[in-house]
Amino acid sequence: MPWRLRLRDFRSPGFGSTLDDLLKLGFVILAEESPRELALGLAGRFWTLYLDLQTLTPEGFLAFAKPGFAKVGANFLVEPLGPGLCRLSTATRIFCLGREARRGFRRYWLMIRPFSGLIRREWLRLIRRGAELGGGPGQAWRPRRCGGKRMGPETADFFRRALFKRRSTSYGPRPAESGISWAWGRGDGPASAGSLGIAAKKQRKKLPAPLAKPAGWPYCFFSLLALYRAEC
Amino acid sequence: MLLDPCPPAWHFHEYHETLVAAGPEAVYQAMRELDAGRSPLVGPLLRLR
Repeated sequence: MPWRLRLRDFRSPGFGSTLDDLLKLGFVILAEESPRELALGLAGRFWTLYLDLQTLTPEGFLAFAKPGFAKVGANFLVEPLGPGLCRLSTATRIFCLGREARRGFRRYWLMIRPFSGLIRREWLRLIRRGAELGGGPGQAWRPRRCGGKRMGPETADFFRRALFKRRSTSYGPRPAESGISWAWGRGDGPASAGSLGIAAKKQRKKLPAPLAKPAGWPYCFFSLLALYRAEC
Repeated sequence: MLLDPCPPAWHFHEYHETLVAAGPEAVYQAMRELDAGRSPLVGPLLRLR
């Protein structure tokens, strides 16, 4: 199926998705202070069809002043706030060289900014999950099974309960155990009348549905959405 | 901040932040090893862009 191939291609790695890919695209590491900050730079005419990305050294990026181009500086900053807690931030700054570049970039920015923000927020989310799970960000997006190693039993139980709303968790005696199994029908038997029948009706009220009953579709949809978000 | 001199002034900017319940080394390593292209959201957006 062509659309499936295209979808697979969309999800394939190697398109500016890793730091190495970014460097191959033309980004240059301007400065790095591990484990605190990483600053990257890129120069080009991003609003044009061919982007005109420039291959520069860190010194060349700082000195670059060709009119009609824009310089982008971006960073990831990790600030420790306490034991086991950090603030992770990313800033992107664009400096346009000349009025023409500024005009061109403004048009481009109006169109691209929501998606740019979305990508950066997703970057932060992936890094956060990768760091918190301790398995690297590559594992952060991969779906994991409920009750698996990464998802604790409490979380898995929460999602199970969200997906299948049980009427009650405490089960009464089963009909077979109570000796009135024949009274489980719809009233068409000897137990529908008489004292045994009344007892069976009373007993039936106490007995919940033995199987989990799926909740309504909106509940399932949002639960699945929450499950997906939690696993990604 | 290392970003301050490059560029020292800017015409457009954006900023995002989040809190992470992990040490700075783990966060930094996760950042260095980030592979966002496998994300079903970022991969298509990067390609479209």
